[in-house]
Amino acid sequence: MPVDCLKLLNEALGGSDDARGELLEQYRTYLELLARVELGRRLQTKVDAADVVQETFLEAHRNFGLFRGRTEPEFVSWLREILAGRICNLLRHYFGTKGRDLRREQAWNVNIDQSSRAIDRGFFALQSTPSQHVAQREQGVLLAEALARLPDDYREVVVLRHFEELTFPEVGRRMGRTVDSVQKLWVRALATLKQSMQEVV
Amino acid sequence: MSPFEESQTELDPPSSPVAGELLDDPRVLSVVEEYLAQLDLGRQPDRESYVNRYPELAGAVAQCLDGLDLVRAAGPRSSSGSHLPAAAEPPPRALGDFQIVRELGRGGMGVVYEAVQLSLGRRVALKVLPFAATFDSRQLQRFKNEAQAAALLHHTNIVPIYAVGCERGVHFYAMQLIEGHSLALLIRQLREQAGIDPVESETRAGDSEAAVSLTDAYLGGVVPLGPATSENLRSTAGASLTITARAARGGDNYFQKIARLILQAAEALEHAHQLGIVHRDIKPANLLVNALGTLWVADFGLAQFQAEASLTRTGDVVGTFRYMSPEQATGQRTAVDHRTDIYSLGATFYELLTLEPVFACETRHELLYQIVHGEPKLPRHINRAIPSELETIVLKAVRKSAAERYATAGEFAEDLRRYLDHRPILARRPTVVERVRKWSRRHPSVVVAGVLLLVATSVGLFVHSQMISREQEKTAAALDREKQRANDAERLFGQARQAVDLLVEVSEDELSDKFDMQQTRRRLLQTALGFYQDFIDERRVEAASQDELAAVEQRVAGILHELDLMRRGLRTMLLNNPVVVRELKLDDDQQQRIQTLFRTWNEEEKAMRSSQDATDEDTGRHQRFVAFAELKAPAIESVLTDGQFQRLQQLAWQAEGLGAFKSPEVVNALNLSHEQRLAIRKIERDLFRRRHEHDPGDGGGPGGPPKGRRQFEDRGGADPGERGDDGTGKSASFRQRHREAMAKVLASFSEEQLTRWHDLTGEAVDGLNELPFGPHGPKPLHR
Repeated sequence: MPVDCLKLLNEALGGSDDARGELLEQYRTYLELLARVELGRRLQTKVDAADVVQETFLEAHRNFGLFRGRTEPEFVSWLREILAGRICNLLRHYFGTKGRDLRREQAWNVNIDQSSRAIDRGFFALQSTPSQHVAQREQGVLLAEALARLPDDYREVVVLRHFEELTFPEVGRRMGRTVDSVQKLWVRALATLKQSMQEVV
Repeated sequence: MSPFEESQTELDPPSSPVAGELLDDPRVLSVVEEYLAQLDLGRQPDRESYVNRYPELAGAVAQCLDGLDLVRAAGPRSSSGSHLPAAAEPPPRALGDFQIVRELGRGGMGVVYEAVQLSLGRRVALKVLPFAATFDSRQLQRFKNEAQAAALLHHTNIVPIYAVGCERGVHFYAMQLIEGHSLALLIRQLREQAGIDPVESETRAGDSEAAVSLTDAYLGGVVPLGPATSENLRSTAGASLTITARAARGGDNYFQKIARLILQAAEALEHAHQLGIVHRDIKPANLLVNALGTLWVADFGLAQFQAEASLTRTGDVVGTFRYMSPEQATGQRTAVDHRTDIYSLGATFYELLTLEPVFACETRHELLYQIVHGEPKLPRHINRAIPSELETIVLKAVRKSAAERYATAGEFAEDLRRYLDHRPILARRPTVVERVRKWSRRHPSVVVAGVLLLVATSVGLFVHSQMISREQEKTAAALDREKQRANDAERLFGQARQAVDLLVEVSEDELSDKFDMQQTRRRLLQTALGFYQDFIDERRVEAASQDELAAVEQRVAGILHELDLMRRGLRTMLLNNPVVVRELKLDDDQQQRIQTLFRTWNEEEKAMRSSQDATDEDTGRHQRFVAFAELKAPAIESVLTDGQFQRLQQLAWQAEGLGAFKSPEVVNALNLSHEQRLAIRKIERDLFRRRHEHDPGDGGGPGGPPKGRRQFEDRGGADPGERGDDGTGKSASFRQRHREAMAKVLASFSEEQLTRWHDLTGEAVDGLNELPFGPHGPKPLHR
């Protein structure tokens, strides 16, 4: 960081395969966080979000020609749509849903939107730290990056507590730890987050 | 007002990292948790007091709160859409001249407070606009202009706007406090009373909708009069609006009350429209009714700003989409004029009448599609008690095309007034023809079926004309007419289906045994097959009729396949004709092999015949011929070189004579116009008529199965008895006339058509029609 995503996007739009690959790579962490939260909420278990994101990238790569936007936010929201579709597929598979249930898909999609909105919003806080790069980056992407820089168990506790909205006892059960230790982790995670965020920006 | 702004001083410059043991102090945890709990309750805790509670831990706590602010803002605030920044704001205690008393409600579009306007000492409803925060200065100015224009509206049925203002970055809108309920609440209440499954209705609109419509009910600045029970509602509405579910399902009184409400709204709209102000977001939640049954239209001048603001949010505005006009749904901003309000009021009216939305869709996408393309269910189909005048009025208001709606809200109001005064209304229902036209616009493939109906008429189906004449019987009971109208679309499909079924039936029952009609039959069947495929495409949804259609389609396809086989068989049979053998220059070896193959077939056929049920010789022969075409023709064809085969095909077309012009391939290849086909048919008819004049004894009725080779003779073949008189007598002269007829047809062709015909047929050869075999099988080989 900081990578000039807009420049990459323009190069990718111009037909550069390398740029396309590198561009997608910029959003891996962000999409993995989204996927992880969505799937985690639905399946009440930790799923490997990396696979879904990989599929998303494949699809995005394949269908890059269909992307009609010009800006980073448009691109990110395009990626989110693809991810939402992938997640729906996966959930259908998990729940063995017969046929298509549009209503459920809709609900899923909305949730993706909500999660991403929420994560994006988290970034508004960061805007109080002036930075030239910030304005050019999709905000949620950066928060995801910052979270990714935390130690695994720090990140885990934040995601479970705040994004999957579990209580501490639930977080403890999920992580196989005592409530006490989970709370300690939480405090440390919070204390570290801002630092991490500043590194990302 | 973001909760993070206050933390800015703490964030900048960054405090130095705090040692781990300080963070492990349980007091840090408890302070941070307490702070979080306050946030969760929607309060704005005083950050400083938390940070400084334990001075020795201030650094650690501050650092945690920084992190918490980051993720806290990111965490989805589970319920009720309160994740909107403005909704999380604490209620301001005072805004300029206005002292906040209490919160009346909140929803996607803002928070409404009851307030006192200090300078005048009056109670007002104060709406705080969350979206204004996202406006740029130009938008903000436009918003102020619009709101101020709306504030100039003075009408008994428009909620007066007292003030539009901005205090400390908070934009608000002060209006008269109305004591009553919104129509959204009324509809909800009536639906519950009527036992319309509330769960279903909620999920139908998406999870958030129920909550939104409930809060929206308060958003217009209405003071809720306690929990909405039916008791309560009745007392609210007072004497003038006693509405119960039973009344809603019947009883003129109810409908008159509804009409009176909508009338007031229409009058309010007319007033605003005349001043050039379009509401753009008329919906039940924006129509407030007070205890006296007076209706107030709220939120003039806000709609487009709400729309702009909601672009950044999704999922919480389904309720509004429901009343959106088609021109709004398709995003034609410039097309949105006052008639948009007429549509939306119509949609509201519809829902009050039927207690069902115009389009009940599960997703926004589907809903928008329906608004643009769907036809609303007839209200009287939902509830027979609805007066037909009101049905006519409401349907006119919600027409897709703005030009077909009431031209003004005043006209809308006038018709309602006429209804209430028991005078005839002015709106006219669309006639059957209009409806059919509308319907066919959406089902283009079935329009083709309409054309087909004409074909069908010519074979004796008069359903279509009957339908029209029935419509013209103005004396028919109104009831019947309505029922009929509702079923028109369905019936047109039914009729088209019937006509096509009839085509198949005719081609099978009447034509299958007429050899000279095989091309016609094929054409009919191919047409029919096309229609079935269209029908199947149209009717994707209905599994039952789908299966049935698929079965018929398959049958027709089967028959067509058989017909193709027969053509192939006939083509192969040409190889028995010495003229053809000469023309193809078959060498001795080829002739030998072909004759062998024919001979084998002959034997096999004989064996087949003896094993077949002898009761129906014609059918048996037909089956055997098809079998021949399928089993033997390929082998015989394979004896030919490519060139010979192509020439054979050309000769086959020639041998068909005038009949070739009925085959789909030739019609397409030559691009024959409808007129040309008619002309050819006439030439052909003349040819046969003259033949029958010459030979009256030869014209068998169409009912009887043809015997022997009459059909072939019709096309210029020779009777056995006449064979010797070749060149003289009737059949020779018929052949001559056939040639003349052919010449006549070719003379009517364009240059291009002639070229194509020559490509198809090659050089003309005489004597092709003297086929030494009958039409139903390789009979000559028995001779």
